[in-house]
Amino acid sequence: MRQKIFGFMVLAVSILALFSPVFAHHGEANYDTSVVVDVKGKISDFQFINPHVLIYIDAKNQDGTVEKWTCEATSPNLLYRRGWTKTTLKPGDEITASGHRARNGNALLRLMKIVANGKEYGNL
Amino acid sequence: MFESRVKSCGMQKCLTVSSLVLVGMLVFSPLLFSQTAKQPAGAKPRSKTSVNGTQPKAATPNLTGLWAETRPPASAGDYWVYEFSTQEPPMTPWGEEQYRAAKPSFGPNGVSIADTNDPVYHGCVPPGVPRVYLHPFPLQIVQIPGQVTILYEYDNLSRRIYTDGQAHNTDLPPTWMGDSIGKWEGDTLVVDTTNFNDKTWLDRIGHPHSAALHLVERFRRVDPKNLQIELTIEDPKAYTKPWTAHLFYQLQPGWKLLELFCEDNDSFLDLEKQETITPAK
Repeated sequence: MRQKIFGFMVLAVSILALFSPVFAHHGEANYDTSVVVDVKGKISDFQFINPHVLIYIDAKNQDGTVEKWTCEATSPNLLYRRGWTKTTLKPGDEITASGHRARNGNALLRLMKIVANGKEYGNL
Repeated sequence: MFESRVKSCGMQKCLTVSSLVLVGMLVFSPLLFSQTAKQPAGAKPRSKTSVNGTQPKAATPNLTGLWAETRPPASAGDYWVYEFSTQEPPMTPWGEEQYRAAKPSFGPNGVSIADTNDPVYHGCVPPGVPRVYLHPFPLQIVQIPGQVTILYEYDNLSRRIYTDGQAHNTDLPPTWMGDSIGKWEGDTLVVDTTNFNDKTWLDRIGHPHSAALHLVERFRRVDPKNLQIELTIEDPKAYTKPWTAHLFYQLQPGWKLLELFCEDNDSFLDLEKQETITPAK
């Protein structure tokens, strides 16, 4: 079941065991790992930086307002070895990001995968 | 061109040049000869037994290469990114007390970044040995006569393991990475490390160690592409008996070590703040 909530969608999944991202810097206690959230929008900033790569997304809600999301991936070193570079993404790119949302309800996402420019990037 | 220069040089200058050429030939001729000399026809190759009848030493195994940790065979879950074993190590009462006081950000008792007391995340201190193995970044082994150097991508840390027979250095204060000496036992490099400080956790979920930690690592290249490291952890203050764990690494020929320092840039600090504060309504 996929439920639309404003500009993003929440997908409760029972196959979370398939996803076991290994984060370099810290654990996942701040994120609700029982639920996968999809955020669709445009990239406003892409920071290929240590300790974790950050993708900023402007997601447009149904009422036309824009919600600003901060999405966190793993280390740039690990992504570099999977083919990423500092120019893999750029502001303005269309993106759908999937991951776990912060438990406190803020618009923060611990990324599992993204689809950007028609290409899927997993194991983030 | 050369001919015209010879013709134009004076007698003294020509003698000086000729002398330099002659000296150069005398100096470099042994090198040239040694690189180009061939065995005379019919000469026998040297015996593998030395003149005193002893067998030559076996070649030292070569661990050189860039290695990345892999999931242990038949492992369940992701324990291997935050602790060394699925078996609970045998802790002393002091060890239990330290472990209960730990608030890690990983593992089953993980807390938020705001609440963790993990020393690595407060002040960016080095994770030390053996915890550095649990950070999911590769390491590079560089081997030269008398020394094996391990370069860890995480924090750009390094260790020098002396294999020339020297004893532990007992003149220095306790260190993050310890003092390491090694020896070869057949195909295995056995590394003995002491002189640790007590400022780090043994792993990423708060198992403790004291300054009495004594670590023995056994490095063995089980085949050309795979390296296994057996850790034996001995710390009578924290554990009732020595215990062992195994790490598994794969050679990554196309990789290079990249820069990685512990740092919390403004973007990341802001993210961590946002993770822990209650959003405004």
